[in-house]
Amino acid sequence: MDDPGLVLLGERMKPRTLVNVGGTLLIAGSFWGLLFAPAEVFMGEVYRIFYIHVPTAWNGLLLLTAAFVCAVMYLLKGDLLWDDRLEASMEAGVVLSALLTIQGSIWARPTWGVWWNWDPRLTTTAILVFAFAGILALRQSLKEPRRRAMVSAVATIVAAADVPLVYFSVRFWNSLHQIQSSPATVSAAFVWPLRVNAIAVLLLMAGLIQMRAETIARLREAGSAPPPIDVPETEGAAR
Amino acid sequence: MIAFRALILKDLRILARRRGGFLSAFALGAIIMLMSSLSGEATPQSLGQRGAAAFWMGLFLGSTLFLSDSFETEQKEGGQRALILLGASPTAFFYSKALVNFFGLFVVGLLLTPISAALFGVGPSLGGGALILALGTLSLAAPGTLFTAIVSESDKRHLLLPVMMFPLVVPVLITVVQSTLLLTFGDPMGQGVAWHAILLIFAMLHWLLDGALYSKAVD
Amino acid sequence: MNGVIEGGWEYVIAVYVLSALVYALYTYSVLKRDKASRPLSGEKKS
Repeated sequence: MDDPGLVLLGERMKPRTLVNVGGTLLIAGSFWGLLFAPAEVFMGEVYRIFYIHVPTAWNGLLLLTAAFVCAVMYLLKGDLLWDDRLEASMEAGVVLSALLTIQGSIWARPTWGVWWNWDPRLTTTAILVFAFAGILALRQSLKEPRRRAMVSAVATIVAAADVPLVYFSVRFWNSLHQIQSSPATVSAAFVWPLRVNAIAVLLLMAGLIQMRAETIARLREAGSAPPPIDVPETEGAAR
Repeated sequence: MIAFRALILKDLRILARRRGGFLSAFALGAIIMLMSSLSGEATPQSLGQRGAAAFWMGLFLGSTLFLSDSFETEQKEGGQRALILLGASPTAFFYSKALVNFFGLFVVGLLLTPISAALFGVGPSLGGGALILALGTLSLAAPGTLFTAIVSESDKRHLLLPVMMFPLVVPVLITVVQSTLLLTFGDPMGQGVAWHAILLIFAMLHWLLDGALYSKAVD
Repeated sequence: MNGVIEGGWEYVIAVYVLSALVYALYTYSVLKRDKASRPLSGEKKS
């Protein structure tokens, strides 16, 4: 029975529709930002990376947060569907966060003059990628679904709890040695292509995660289903 | 309390038998420090700064060897399951193992200290060094014990443990290296207290959170 | 130096091409695995 309180856009739209709409919007928003948005005062044309980098960042971190929520929900409810969603969110979150780190590195080169900087945000993101990739690797070596779910949930909660400590320790360390850079205030001319891309990536990922969670559930159920009973072909064959 | 004491004695006995774990951790730590001492300028300032980082990296990487087999005895004989079925609290099991692991890692750190002093020449005072060593290994023991329990069933545990521990210990690594440098070269701006506070917060968070999650992580 | 970065289109193109590749490949990977798993859900033979 449907829970009337759970009528969210992502819950009710078909995954394929979300993927198609999100993908189309992402292409449109990217072209808008690349070709039609004005140049920025200090960063010139290089700032256009912003229209794909920021939506990737927002959604990547949102997905890893969603994985944390799924981990907590699994521990509370014990329903394996939460584990399916955890894996789906974590996988997508790791992909986006890894992409984000590389995007940031390429953007850093013309703006900061270096490929890498020990900025707390960059460092925290890189650490997150390793942490959650490690949990995904751990999952591969655990075959029993409930054991895998429980271990993943515990590891995810511990990794997520570590995030503020990583951020704070790097920020504290960073403040003693480097000047913090801060992003320019976003003016109205830049906001719309940014919003379009942010929503586009959100819809795209919502659709992909739904599909991925369903795939994981199917594979899990197929793996735990009893083998089919075959009728022996020859009479009197011993079982 | 009696049961907890019995668990501690059990773990101390296992630790005493696991001399191989101490040797592996010590050997790896010493090798890392040796390589670090050879890979840069031989000036006292440079050596001193490299020494702090090399000591802690050696200890952390050595600790994964030390920790990765800490559940081996219970795993092999089904001892952990038997103890829990007999009524031992999984939480008590965790804290006993984590305390003994903390003690073991502290001993590994003590064994590495003269090597560090010989290779790098400078270091913190005895009291300050012991305090940082205690805080650092305390911070490492709880998450290390939890993750060791988690990966202990996997045949890839020797790879998985360092991979999973690395992101977790980054704040500890940054903090203990900075604290060690301040204790070695002086702390004119009084930043040491803040670094020690981060270490304490990390240790407290993990000793509480990991203890609460341990019972969920085991059968 | 006036503090303004000049040029830099090669970095912009590099980021967009890389991002397009990653998004496209991940989408393709999810769709492919979804399609491959569908026969498992309904066609059990006994």
